[in-house]
Amino acid sequence: MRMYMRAVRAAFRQQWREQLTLQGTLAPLLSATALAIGVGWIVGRSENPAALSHVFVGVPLMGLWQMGVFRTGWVLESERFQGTLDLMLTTRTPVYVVVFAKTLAIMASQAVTAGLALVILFAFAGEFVSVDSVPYLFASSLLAIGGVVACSFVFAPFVFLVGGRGGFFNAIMPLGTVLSGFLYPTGLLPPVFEAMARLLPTSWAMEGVVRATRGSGTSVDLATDLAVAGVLICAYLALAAVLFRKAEERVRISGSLAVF
Amino acid sequence: MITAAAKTWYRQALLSYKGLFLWLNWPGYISNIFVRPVLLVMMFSLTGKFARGEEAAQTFAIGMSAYGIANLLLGGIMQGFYYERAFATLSMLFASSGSRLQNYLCRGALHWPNALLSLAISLLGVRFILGIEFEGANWVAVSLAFVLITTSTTLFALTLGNLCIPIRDWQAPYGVTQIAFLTLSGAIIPRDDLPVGLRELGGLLPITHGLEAARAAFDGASLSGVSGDLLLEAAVGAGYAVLGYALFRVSEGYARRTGAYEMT
Repeated sequence: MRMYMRAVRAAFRQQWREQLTLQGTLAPLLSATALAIGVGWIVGRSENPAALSHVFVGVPLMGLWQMGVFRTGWVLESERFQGTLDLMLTTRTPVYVVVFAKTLAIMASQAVTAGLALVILFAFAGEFVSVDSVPYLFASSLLAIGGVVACSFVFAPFVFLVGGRGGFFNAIMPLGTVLSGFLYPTGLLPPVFEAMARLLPTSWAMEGVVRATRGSGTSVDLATDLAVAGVLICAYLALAAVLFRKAEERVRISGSLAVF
Repeated sequence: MITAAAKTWYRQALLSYKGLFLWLNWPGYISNIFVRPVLLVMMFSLTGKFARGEEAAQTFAIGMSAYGIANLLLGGIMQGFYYERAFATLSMLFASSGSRLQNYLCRGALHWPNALLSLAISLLGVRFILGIEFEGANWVAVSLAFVLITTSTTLFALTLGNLCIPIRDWQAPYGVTQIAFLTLSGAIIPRDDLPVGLRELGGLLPITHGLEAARAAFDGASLSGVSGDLLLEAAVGAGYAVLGYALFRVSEGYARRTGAYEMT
């Protein structure tokens, strides 16, 4: 366990330093700013308190999702491309532990983006929303972040296994935002999309966020939302573990083609 | 003679498209042309519906359909300029005796139909997924407006692509254009709500005037009724055509004098 912790610290630090380059920071920041301005104007000037409370939590999470899934998705493939995947597999630390630490670093580095999105929303709305239950809001926001991390984590081995190339995430990034209900209740989605949304932990956690903010629904409803979100997060992490094992098997049997 | 020239143009367009457009693989292509534009429209239309009601959903659907064109063209074309330098083929181009105008325009040629295709998919998505109907639309005027938007945005993307060569990046300028289009073009924020300076600045962007024409045409305006905006959109595109090609030649002249751009 201590050995793992040391590896987690090192992987986190390495990824953190990689994130904090001008190129690594500026492009996602600009992209998230564009979306936050668009959404901020639509909702901030609408004088609709329900929509406002929804997006105050949803927009920072949207920023986290967009870049989280994109950066984390390429982590394993980047290691292969740079020729360090073999070394990662040679160490005694399981690959998923290293990638999980990198995922956390990516998410942490997006805190600036999330903060900026909040400032933009505040600028348009002119006020922060009132919250009915701060502890519940904290719990559901934490689960929403956990949901984003778990979903992003799945994409690291997935992209590697399917041999993802440029443009791979261009639809996945908005798809997660559309289905997660970061900007509106998932009930507004067409039925097929709503059914798909139910498979994402983020959509359940966002419902919890809305209930905690507006005080709608009973405690049982809120507990159900959070429990389902928690179960789905565990399911996604389990799926990620399976995919990581498959990715590792493939590398060990067929080679990573890291040297070219 | 004409056939030979057409073949050269086609070959040039195809080679820059295949060699410098890294989203050209089936998952990337489907993702960019068929899925992302529809999702972007859904994202903003549903947010508008939730916050402001049904009418807002249609307004944002039209705005985001036009924004989708810009998003696709800018990403595709600007990366081509950057990769020309990153893959170290720029010096080959400068050493060749081929037509520079042909080379310049061909960089956007195959992105142009992609943008129109993605627009058609977006509008179909709006109709069949979101259930928004465009009753009474003047489709001739709508089509002309979107063709002009696509052309002027292609020329704008080519102009900005020139900047990606010296700064060795395309993602940051791409991010800046995303902000500009979402805030200044009228896609989301009506131009009348912008401060005067920003409103004028928005008028210099492609899609701004074309989008005004398209919105009016969706409401049933006649072709002559929107001709002023269509002419302005065409003028903006022509301006970027001249400016962009001039920049391309200046950038080549600079490279020849100083030996710049040779290394990645």
